[in-house]
Amino acid sequence: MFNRTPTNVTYHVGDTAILPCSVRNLGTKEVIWKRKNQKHVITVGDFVFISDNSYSIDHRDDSDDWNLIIKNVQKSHAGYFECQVSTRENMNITVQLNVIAVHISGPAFIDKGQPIVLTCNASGPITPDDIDWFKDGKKVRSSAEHISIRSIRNAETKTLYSTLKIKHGEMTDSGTYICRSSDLEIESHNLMVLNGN
Amino acid sequence: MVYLKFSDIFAVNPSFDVPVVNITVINGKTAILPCSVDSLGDHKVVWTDQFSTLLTFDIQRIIDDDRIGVDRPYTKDWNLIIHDVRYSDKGRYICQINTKPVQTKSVELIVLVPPVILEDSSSNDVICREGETVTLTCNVTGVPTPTVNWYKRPLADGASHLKEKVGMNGEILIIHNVSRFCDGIYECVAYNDIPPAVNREMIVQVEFAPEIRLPNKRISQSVGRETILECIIEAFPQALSFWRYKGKELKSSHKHRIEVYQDGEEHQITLSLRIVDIRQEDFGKYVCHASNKLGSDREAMDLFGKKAVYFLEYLTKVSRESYLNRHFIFAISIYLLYICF
Repeated sequence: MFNRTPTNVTYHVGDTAILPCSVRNLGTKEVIWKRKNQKHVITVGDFVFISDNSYSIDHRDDSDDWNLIIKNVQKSHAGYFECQVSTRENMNITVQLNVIAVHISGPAFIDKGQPIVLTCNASGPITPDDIDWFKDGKKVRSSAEHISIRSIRNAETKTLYSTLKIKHGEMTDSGTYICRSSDLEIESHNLMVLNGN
Repeated sequence: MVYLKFSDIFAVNPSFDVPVVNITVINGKTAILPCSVDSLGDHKVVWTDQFSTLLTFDIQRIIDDDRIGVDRPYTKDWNLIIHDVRYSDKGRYICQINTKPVQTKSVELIVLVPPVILEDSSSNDVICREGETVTLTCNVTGVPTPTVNWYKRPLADGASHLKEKVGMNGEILIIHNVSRFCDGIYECVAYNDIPPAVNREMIVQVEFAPEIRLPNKRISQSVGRETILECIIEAFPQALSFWRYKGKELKSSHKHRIEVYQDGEEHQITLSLRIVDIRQEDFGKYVCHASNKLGSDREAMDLFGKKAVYFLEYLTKVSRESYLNRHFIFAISIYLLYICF
């Protein structure tokens, strides 16, 4: 019997992804992980079958959990995984792994007058060409005095970094910031400017 | 410290050494799905089925199906063995080596199944009436799809050598406008080259109203003697049958002995009436009756006295033209009159 675990997990590129699978009363049977669309298995019990050391199994002897761990998760890992129990009764659960290739980092709250710095990194099989910023749905453009947007490309990690800077945060700068890569990967970030005076 | 795997040192990658094959096996037998690997090194071999269910890992069975195992007659063999193969086992099996990328080899398992007649959805014995349409069904399964042939033989015991092929091949035999001659034992035989062939028998019986036939319509006998009246009745189901005389049904008694016997023909009986010590009052019309749920029939038969009178007239006529003594003829006449009346 499977314990109820999330069947849809989302990670950012580079994260260590955990795909949960928990089985009660496994007995002598084995837990097998495979990708839905591939014939070969990834793991059998705690043995990693494929020659790819980004995969491992998180299991303790006294635990029901047989979580699949994917180190440095990439966009290419995204998809459907099947956690299967080695029985004729066709026991399996499907876990969807989503990997978001854009990620906004930056503060959620800022004091009025302080600088706002939000960084969006977007990666992909090929480094994305460009990143667009939106605030509350409206495209944000660089303006000489108030807002600057700069991009840096890292060929090795195939990542494009875009930094949005506002020298002095105003109350009107509160809102939802959205980063969208040219691969149409998208993420939002909420920022609130606080007025303590 | 750097660890080198055996396969890294020699840079020999494992590979399958036999080509892709199809394995054909008969239901219930053992299937061996070949997978031989050269230079396996410390790689592992697994087998999965068409649903990507993992069956074996290394030399162990993983699936909870003890018909399955890894068969290793030689070191390089990693054959999948399936005992007591079922039809549901058919499909593509994949032998995999955990090289990078994973190497796979598939083996198609074909399962042949001897013919089976499905009792529940096949015909049983049939009783019908003339003119109806009878449909006989033998619902068969098997792989490949069996051919169904139909045979018919008479209902009578010991007539099995008269078996004849009827109709066309197929699961359904339709007999239109059934007549009483369509009755018999019908047999379907299913075969698909995977022995054994199987068969099923269905008895078809056709109901019809009685039909009476009298071998003699008139019979004569002398007073004091006895006679047998015979009535042949053809019917199915067999009829209620009796003799009637002067409006009364006759029962077996010291006077009348009634017997029924079957004489070879299916559905045909003879109803005999033996009348002993015939008296004058026994002469007359005897009626043979037969009826079943489909109808009835009757035929009348005359029993009459031997009319010595006609003989006398004849003798008189003859005597006029002959030398016979009139007194002798008279004496004979008296005698005949005595024995006849």
